[in-house]
Amino acid sequence: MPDKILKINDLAVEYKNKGKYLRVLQDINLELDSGEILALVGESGSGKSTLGKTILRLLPDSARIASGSIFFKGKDICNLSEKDFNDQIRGQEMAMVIQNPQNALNPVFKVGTQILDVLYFKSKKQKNRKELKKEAVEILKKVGISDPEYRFGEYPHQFSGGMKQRVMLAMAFISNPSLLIADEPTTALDLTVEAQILNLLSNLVEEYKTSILYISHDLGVVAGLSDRIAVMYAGRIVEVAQTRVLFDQPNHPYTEALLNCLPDYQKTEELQTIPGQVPDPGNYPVGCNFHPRCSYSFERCRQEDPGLEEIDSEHFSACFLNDC
Amino acid sequence: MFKSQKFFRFKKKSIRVIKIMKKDYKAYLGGSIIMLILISAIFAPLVAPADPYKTNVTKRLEGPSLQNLLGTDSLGRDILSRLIYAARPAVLVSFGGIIISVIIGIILGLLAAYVGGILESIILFIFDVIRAFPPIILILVLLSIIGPSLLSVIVILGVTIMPRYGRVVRAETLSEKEEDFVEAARSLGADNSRIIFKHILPNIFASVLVLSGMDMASMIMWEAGLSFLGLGLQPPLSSWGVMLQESYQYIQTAPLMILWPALAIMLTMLGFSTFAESLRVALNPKLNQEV
Repeated sequence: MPDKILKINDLAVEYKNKGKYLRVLQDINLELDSGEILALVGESGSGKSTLGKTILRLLPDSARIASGSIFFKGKDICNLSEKDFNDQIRGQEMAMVIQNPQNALNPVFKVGTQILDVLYFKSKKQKNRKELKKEAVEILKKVGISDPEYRFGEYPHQFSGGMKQRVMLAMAFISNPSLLIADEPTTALDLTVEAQILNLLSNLVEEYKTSILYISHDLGVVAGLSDRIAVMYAGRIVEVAQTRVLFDQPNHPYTEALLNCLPDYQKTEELQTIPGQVPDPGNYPVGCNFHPRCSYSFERCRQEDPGLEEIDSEHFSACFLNDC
Repeated sequence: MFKSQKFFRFKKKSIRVIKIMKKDYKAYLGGSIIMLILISAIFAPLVAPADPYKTNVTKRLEGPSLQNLLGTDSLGRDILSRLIYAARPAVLVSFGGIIISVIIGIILGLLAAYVGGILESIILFIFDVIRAFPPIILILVLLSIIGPSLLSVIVILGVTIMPRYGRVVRAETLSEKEEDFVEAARSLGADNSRIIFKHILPNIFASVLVLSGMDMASMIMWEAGLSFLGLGLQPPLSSWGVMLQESYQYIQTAPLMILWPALAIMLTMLGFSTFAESLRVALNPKLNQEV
């Protein structure tokens, strides 16, 4: 079995709101093998992005890790000082691509300058910018930007969303990270561009052997990309399985409901939805978080909290139906 | 090597800004007025036709003539020469005061927004205390404590308008630091100094520059006003305010005399504010997409 690159144990994250701490993540247990692409899916508000930010320690000041630990390459990164974390891990070993490429580049500098900056700081200020320019143009070319020499000198507002996301990917891969957190990198893009970016991402992964935590709300997108999928609901992971297994034999009612929501062009019936909404943190129901929207819920779901249990090899689910 | 690279990039950016401003008549108008003022200030002894301090009582309060293009004042001094020499304190006060307030304002504003917490409360309290007084009262009190001189006028004006910059910098920093590109930079491993100097300062720089362009004009007016009240530059040193004050007593006998310093003040303010406006457009990449 390959090494675990990321191991999250019993993680809980809280946000401070009006003097009270609200739990937004609870009992998160997750492992990521090196070279693996793990997709994190769930509705808006399920805590996917919060988990991604927690791993990179980019949470706002109002949030705190209430309990649990995160091990990255065997090292507990929760206990590293901010400076050490920034020097050793963030941007070096881990990088992130954020959701909205429209604002992801600084509007006052040329795109090339910004790539040069990343290269320059990565070289520990050893190389000068002229030497690095060639490298930067090369990188632009690699992520599929046409006429890179010319594009190098343009400003972000002259780039399309897809091109900006290509640049962001390029910048994230400059330091050859072992783990890339991709926070819905294609959500703001249209479908054809999305396909191109996903293609580019898989090529880069193959080339750099990077593990990816791919955050998305779109099961259709992650189906072709990921090795495993973790489904999140209301701050918890409710099911983890190999991609194929999850699609073929979804165990948790929420996963099933999500899969039912995928549009199917062959069927003419109306698009399925899951009735109700994700509860707000602080308003989580007693018992299983999903029970108010679950069509299978029974008495026990309203009283107890199901934990994540292994129901098959490498297939985890948090549902009492498995006990019946 | 690194320094020259940095300078090179700065130069390239300035070239772009200049390119945009070249198409703007406001830049020409404002720029030429500012150049005129600067040249008069720097080369005053070469430009001025006569000695601004040389009195000639037999020729007092004369109107414009070939010898004295703008006439003479109550002591027979050449008004044009005094106007030209008076550009010096005007330039010193406006640039000096702005530089002081911009530097203090940026430091305090950045600290307040970036560090937050108690430090932010303390800094905002300082701003509020300064802003609580009407500026004229604060300036007059401080000036009468320290005593009028060119340096004290510069420092006091700088400190008095500093909260404007502090608040603008703080507000802009607060919004910039939540921008996606700051988060993206952070996720790529940028440390605080890189985020401040690369991502926040360049983005707020334009507003500070434009604001300071506007304030330079008002600085000149403040200096003139204080000198007019006898709290700024002291005679016989010439300043437009001093000249206004000297000439308003003769407004009935020599009405033209008061016109010249007033015109000089107006022209300078016009120059700074039109230039600042043009700069605002040129510095914002979003406002000049066609380039």
